[in-house]
Amino acid sequence: MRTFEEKWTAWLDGKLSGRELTEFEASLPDKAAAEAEKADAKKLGTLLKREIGTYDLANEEFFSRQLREKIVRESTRRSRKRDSAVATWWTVRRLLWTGTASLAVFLVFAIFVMHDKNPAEQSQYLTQILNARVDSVVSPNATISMFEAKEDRVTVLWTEGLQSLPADYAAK
Amino acid sequence: MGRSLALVVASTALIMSASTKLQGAETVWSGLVIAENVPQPEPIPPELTRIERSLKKLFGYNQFQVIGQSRKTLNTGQEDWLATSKFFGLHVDARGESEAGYVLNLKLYKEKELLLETDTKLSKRSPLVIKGPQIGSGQLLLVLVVQ
Amino acid sequence: MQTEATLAQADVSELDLVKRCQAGDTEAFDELVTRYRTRIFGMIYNMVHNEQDAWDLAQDSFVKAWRSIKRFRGHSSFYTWIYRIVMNVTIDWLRKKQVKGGSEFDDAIQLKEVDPASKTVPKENALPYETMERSEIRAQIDNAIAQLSPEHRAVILMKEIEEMQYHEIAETLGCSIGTVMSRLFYARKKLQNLLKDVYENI
Repeated sequence: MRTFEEKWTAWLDGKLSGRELTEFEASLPDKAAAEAEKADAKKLGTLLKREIGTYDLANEEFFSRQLREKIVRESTRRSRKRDSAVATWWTVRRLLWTGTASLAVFLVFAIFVMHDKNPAEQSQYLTQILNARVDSVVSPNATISMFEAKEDRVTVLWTEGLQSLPADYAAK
Repeated sequence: MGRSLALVVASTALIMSASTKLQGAETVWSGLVIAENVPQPEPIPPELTRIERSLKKLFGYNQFQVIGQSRKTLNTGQEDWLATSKFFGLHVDARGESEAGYVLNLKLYKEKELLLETDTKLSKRSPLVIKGPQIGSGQLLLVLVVQ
Repeated sequence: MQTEATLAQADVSELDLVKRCQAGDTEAFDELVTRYRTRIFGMIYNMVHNEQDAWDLAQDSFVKAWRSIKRFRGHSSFYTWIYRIVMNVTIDWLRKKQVKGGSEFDDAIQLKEVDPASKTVPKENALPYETMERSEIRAQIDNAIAQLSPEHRAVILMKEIEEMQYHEIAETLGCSIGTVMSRLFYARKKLQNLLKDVYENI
């Protein structure tokens, strides 16, 4: 079942049609406000495309030459290793796997244990999130971030990827 | 002499314990809220009226129902359960008070599983909303407001 | 405008280049680099907002692509395949930078001092006031994007700048289409909040 966020995104991008579109538009509490927000999102897209667009790569040929040299060095190093008669337990494959595993462990801690936010980055009068984490065993794909709605001074801790639960869990 | 000393010690202890309570006996209202879109939405609970506009705008739902709530005065250094429902519980460890607000460690449990944990400075002027998991066609939200 | 026949021809020739790369032909890889280096560099720059870092990351991405070229099976286009490597490299780098508490993006400030004759500014001759206003707008946009997580940054740039479809973004980032749409929802809301004053005046 699509979440509201997915339906909203699809509606904004004109990807909803037929019954799904009718049902979604009927479910909107304030259609006019939603249309205004849709128009705002389009303006945002136009702004981003106009202002960001493409960024030229200066010295393209130098880029390619530098890259070529790296690849040639890499290829030479690999063929030397293959020719070497010295046996070692630490093969390239093993080194790569060990490195990848270490990086994965590092990323798990880095991603899911946020640093203390510098209070100066957040408004003095808004609730501040010092750090937040989701349990990586329970929700391995979840992410967590912060959002401030300055109008009502609401601080939102926004999670994504938490496991969806059946409606029974809404019991009082 | 002994009685005077005991009186001084007892008074000091009382003063110290009183000073660790939140100033002005403020309470923290916390709610476990199910947000969803329905054809005939119920009126928004009074505790959420102040942030109704933000909730609707940020999350896109038209109905917000409280499935568990609590209103407690938090004492620094003490742990307690805030809002609970049949399957969820919000645990708090009040770690202190600062200029900006009250430093809290919050843990959301789904039965015995810890779903998420956060350390926050909860400001008197600024409610905290935590987006929980999707439940059926709705969304679990946790709301904390200093009253 | 390219016809279907010439596009098909281009695909075939790209596949041919990839096969030659897989056989160890570095000149064939050179040709692929020439085709995609600007686009890849531009995308990375929009993520990291620093030319030197973008340069290094683009180089790293191409080296990684060379190392793993034999694993390319042709199930997607070569660009989608290398794009995935680019995104992984860039997002990993951004995450590590966040953990280390890396410096603020400083290109946004440098934009005001860029030599108008260099390649990195619009080619049209803008009036001085317009140039300053545009660079201030760009700085605000860069600042706003910098407040998104690497994953949210990636989806918004891929959707709005690269005009990729949801399934292409999902394939590149290795996540579900639902996650892409959910991240777009959040990223758009956040940027709308931060840039309302800017886009309302365009």
